[in-house]
Amino acid sequence: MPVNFSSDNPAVIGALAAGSLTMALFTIVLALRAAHMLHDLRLRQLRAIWWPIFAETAASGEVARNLPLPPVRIGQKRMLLREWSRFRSMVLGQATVSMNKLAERLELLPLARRHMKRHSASKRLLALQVVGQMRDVDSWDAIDDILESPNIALSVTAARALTDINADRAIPRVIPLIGRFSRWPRTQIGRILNGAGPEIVSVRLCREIADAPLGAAILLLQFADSAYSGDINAVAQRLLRTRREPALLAAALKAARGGICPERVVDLTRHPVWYVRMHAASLLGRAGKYEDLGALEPLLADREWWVRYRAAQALVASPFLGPNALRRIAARQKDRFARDILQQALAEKRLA
Amino acid sequence: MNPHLITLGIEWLFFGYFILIYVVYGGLNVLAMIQTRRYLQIASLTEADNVFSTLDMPISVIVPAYNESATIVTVTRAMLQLEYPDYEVLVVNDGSRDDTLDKLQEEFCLQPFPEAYRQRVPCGSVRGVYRSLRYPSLRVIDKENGGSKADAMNAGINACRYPLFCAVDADSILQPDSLRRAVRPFLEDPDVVAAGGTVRIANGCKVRGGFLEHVGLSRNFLARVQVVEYLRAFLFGRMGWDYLNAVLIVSGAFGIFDKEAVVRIGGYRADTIGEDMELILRLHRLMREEKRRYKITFVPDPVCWTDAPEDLATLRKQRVRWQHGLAQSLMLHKSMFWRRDGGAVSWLAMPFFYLFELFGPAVEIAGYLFMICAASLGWISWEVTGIFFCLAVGLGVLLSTSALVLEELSFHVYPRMRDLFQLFFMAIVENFGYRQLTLIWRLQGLYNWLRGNAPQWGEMRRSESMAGGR
Repeated sequence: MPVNFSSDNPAVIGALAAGSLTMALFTIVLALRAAHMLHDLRLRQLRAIWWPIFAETAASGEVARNLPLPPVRIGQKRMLLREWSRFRSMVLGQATVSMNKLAERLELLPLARRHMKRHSASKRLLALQVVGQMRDVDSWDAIDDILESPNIALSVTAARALTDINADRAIPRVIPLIGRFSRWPRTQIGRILNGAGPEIVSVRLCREIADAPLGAAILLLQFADSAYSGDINAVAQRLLRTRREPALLAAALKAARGGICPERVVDLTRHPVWYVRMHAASLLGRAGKYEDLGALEPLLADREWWVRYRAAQALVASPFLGPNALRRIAARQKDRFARDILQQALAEKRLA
Repeated sequence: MNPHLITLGIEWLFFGYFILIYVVYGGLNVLAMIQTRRYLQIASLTEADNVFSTLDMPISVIVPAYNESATIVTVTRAMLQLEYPDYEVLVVNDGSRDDTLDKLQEEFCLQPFPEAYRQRVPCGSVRGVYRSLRYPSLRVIDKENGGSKADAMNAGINACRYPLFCAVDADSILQPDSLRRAVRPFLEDPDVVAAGGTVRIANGCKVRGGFLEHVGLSRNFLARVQVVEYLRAFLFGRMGWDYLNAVLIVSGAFGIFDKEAVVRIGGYRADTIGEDMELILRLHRLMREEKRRYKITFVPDPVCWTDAPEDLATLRKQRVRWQHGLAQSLMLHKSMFWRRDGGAVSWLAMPFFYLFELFGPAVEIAGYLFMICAASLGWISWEVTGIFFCLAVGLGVLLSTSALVLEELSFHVYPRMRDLFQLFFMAIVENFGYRQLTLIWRLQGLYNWLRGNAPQWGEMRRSESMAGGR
């Protein structure tokens, strides 16, 4: 049967449909652009009115208390909510209290709570930010429901909101999830933990690291900066003594800031896995004593460049060795790679 | 066999091919929309607190330079002004025959440095390493010419200090926040080994001091039409594949890589033309062979702007070379095709690239020729031929327009309404002549690869905006 290409044929209809669809798509493009321009215009107008008010509120708190406020049209409220949240995230201390009072006067919190029940992820994201910023205890359960959402953006913002509302209560809930939700953005987790402060985070984090399975422990060790040195050193010491997995040993050596049994670290400079040796060398450089320097010298001739480099950096940065002592170390190296790497580290220090 | 049946079969084959290609592209378009939406959602979170975190990973920016005397100082200075807390710039002078190295020495007070250089990936001999006395984060590696960008990149990889490296062309224009945007996938997912960024056309834009100041469209027809092509390629091509974790290309103009992953697979291959695609295919293959968890991803933000050819001769050479490189890379990794454990890369992306990107030009041209011949010989009516061309052109316009929708939904980079109409106009007219011309060039690239002919590089003439902005 020959193909029928008359005007009622699907191919003809297809060609016509493609043309019509193209026009429809371009109309969508134009509509999107028009909507974007309109939004920009409204945003500029809103900012012209409200940013000076926000600034005055943050600076003096006056507006939040008693000064009259311009009327807000219903259609403008969501935009105002976003702008308020944006400004609120830029201020600190007493200014945050004043901004929250202003939000109460503007009745932004009920709007945020309504948005949290919506299907739209972007509305829920904004709502989570706002209820967190306003420390809305009544929203706790609703936020907690979102905490384990498969949408990463929503779940991590929920974690942040809970921490903003009550860090003491939120951190024990959030830290175990960090190990489980390996796809949570690390920068966001870092900000949540740093925001809560070491007094709340330190003990919980270290306990979780000690008890967590391998992958989660390695992940959690990346946030060691959020804990007190003493706590993190203690947990690192324990892991170095009791565990054998190279990746975990390396993570513990990297997290430790000192106070680790030097014999164990020196032992690890002879570990068969190169990155464990490298982190051991770095730790000896950061926190080693004079008598540990002897363990660094053989590493200058290690077969791995990074181990040599870290050992050389550790020696050059050591407060116990002056330029003459370093030159003597360089002179007694029989290995060319060891001499080269020490020369490089010395040159880097001179140029720094 | 009945000749009429044969004609009918061929007719349907070409129709089927054209419909299939557009159905697949349409599917990619939908995936790209979903992925872009997801990306913008997460991005809106990090935009709010645009503060550098201690968790940001340090990056080595590698700039290979061969005879770049005219632009190297401005490019290097722009690289040194990127907004990123911890990075170094490594300019690799790949045995330039002009005064590229002298210019760098003079401008940045370079001093020979006793670098304990180690060759972890193969490259040409390094003559010396220099460090700037003015900018501690700048080093220059002077090496013998290795005959390829890949060789220069490998020298840079050998010298870089940080766990991530960013491959940048010496004629790329970045935005101050390009690194910060492109590094985001690495911060969010520890399995990411490579991330590409969207490359846009710089022709017609205002460039000052190596940075983009104002976005605009060139008056040159070829440059304008390439804007639509790039939108299509990046916004829905790569973003759609990103959804499936099957990105096969990270543009050589801008890409960030996990250094250890690249070193483990032996760095760039200097004997290929499409070294950027070959590297990604090799990463996919070896990561899967080692059964590692990995992700090669794509950032839709416009992070890099590049000069597009404004004359037919340069454009032809570029397209012939690209197709040659594509063929070479795909054939080198044909074992990835329909591998049992190959995932979307093996079962979707590789067949797509073979069927539509590699052999597409041959099938499309054969389709056009067959229809014209068959109509001339009276085997099919001219009406049928007309419908075939209408369908091919109509669907082409539809796809290009859908790329404009994606652009408008996400970044709306081109601010003026006039630009929007011009882009729509280009989305239509590119299907009348330009697309067919590029098909012929791509077919030529395929032929060159089959014959083993050496690729032609040719001199790239800088556009007005690029030349002025330097």
